[in-house]
Amino acid sequence: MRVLGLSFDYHDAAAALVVDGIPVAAAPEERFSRLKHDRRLPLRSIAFCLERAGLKAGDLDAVVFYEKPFRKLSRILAGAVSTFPSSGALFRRAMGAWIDERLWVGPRIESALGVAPEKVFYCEHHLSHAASAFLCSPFDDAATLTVDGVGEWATASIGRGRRAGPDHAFDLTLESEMRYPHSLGLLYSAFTAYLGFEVNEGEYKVMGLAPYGVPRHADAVRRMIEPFADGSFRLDLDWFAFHKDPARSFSRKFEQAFGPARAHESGDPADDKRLCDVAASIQLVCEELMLGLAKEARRRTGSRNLCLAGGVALNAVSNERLLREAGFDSIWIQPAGGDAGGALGAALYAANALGAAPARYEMKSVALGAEHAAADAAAALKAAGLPFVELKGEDELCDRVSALLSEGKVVGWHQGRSEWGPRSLGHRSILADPRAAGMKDTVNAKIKFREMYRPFAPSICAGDAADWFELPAAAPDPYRFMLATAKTRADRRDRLAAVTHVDGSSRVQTIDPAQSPLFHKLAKALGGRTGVPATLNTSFNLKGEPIVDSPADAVSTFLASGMDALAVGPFLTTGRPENPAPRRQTWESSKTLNDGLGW
Amino acid sequence: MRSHLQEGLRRVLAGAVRIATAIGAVLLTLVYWLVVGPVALTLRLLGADLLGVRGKAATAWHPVEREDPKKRLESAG
Repeated sequence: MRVLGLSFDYHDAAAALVVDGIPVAAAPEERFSRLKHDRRLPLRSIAFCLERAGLKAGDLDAVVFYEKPFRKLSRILAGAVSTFPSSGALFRRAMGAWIDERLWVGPRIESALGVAPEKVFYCEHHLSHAASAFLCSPFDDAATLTVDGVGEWATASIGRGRRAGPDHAFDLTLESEMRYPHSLGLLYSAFTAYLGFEVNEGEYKVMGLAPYGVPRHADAVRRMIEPFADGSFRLDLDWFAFHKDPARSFSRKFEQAFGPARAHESGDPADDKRLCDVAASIQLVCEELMLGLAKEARRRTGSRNLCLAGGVALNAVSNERLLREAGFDSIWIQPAGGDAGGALGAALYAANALGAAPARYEMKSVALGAEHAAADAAAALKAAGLPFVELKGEDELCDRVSALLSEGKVVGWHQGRSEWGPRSLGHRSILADPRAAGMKDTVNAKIKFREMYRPFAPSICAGDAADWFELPAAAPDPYRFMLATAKTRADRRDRLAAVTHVDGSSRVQTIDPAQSPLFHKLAKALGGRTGVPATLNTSFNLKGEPIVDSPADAVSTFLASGMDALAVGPFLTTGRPENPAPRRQTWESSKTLNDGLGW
Repeated sequence: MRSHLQEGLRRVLAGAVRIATAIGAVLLTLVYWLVVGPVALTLRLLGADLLGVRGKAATAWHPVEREDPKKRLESAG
């Protein structure tokens, strides 16, 4: 059975193709359109998925949208009615978007793909998230916990998944949900906006800013919340505006409590102690709330395993606390925890619900994106006029690149299929030596042109990870996908200075040799030269841009940045034009395609 | 000549979109005050709490109805 899952219309549009229960291709639209968080019907991603599988749209058995649009509309109308007469602007903007496109999800899919209406299905938003975690996990029995801003009505859910027997009979059921406006994702987003970052884009920045402060405002944040003994909570809406204002998340009362909001992307927030303390406070409360929700999932289901998805599941600091304190033996987190991941979850759920005995699947690698031929890489380098050499095999590639890294060079690394999810895990990465503290500033300032306070992640050979980081148990799965932080061992911090944050933590990726053999070989080669079997690994993009996909994207990003070398497939260039390409400004156009508040 | 025509057509269409957007905003404003408003006031008089923000509560969890997985996928609402 061939099932195409789709997410679009809000942010992070994506397509995922599942054939007989196995995902064969998945990619967000932004990788192809080059507009970050592109929310439009993902025609390019669909074309890629079909081409990768050698299928035509007519070959599909089902196309599944990742949420129920009419149920979502009912929530928006209820919000407008409940907040009348303050919600006029929100009503006008939301209804304009709905009349224009969102009411017609089914017909738009039918028209774009030429499929019959009976082949178009709809999976609830949080069920899509839950399926994206449980049906990719190694578990036969698990609790599911999904937490994000908002889907239709649900903002969080607890469920249970089971699959057993030779036919992999599955049962994935959501048991309870929290509903709008009571939302951990929207609470965190309100602080993201207050701290001067873009909602749905800047949450990582809040998480990165938090260690610079102390959570002295945690009690003020807790006053916004009415907690219950079962981990659920209600928000006091007097502090917020997201439910009635299309462009504002927090109210005047919010600013009276915490001081004036930071102007959008102004100055360096790490220089402002007050802002750092606010970031630390919301991060702490977020962790507490996530722990409460996870413990309730444990209590209700009795399962020893947890599957986690939704945008809040990408909070790596909170995930580390769940790993240590939530009481589960194992936790599996969907690497594409945000809305893009909903496309995969919807497709997997439908493949199991509609198909007969699909194959058992466990996501061991995120390499579900596009792959490009060596000829394309050579053509892109030639078109840019860059001198390059072709290396003979992986050993020479790793040897040459590790030599450059050990000399303090910054290298663009474009190998194999692109990654599914927002983390670069050694397929589309910018790499550097993790030892010297100055490397962090170099990569932030000269390579990625982003905020100086933001930390970088290390990628380390899985077998060596426990020697360098304080990992819970034996480096569980979340670390394979860079989804949780861990403390760098105190006696090793001076040798991992570029990838250890101010609080001694790192968002570490453990490189499994079976999962990423080439990347593992590179880290090993680097370890042979430096004594540290790890590399600084950051996504191959510039600030405000999507991660590169094609060799041409990689070359143009290389030219627009200060990288020293670029390895694309078997080719290596260390040449640079005399005049670097001008900085690109794609974020402004990307922003117009991002509906942050879910209306 | 052809590019002049195309540019002219593009301007006409851009103008039409702007006019349609303005008319849409006026119509939606009317709907908001003439339809949403009375519904909101009526529901308020009846004490409805559509967002679950008022009154005492012991939990914010809502049970999710169990449904056949296949049937669950069929409707858009």
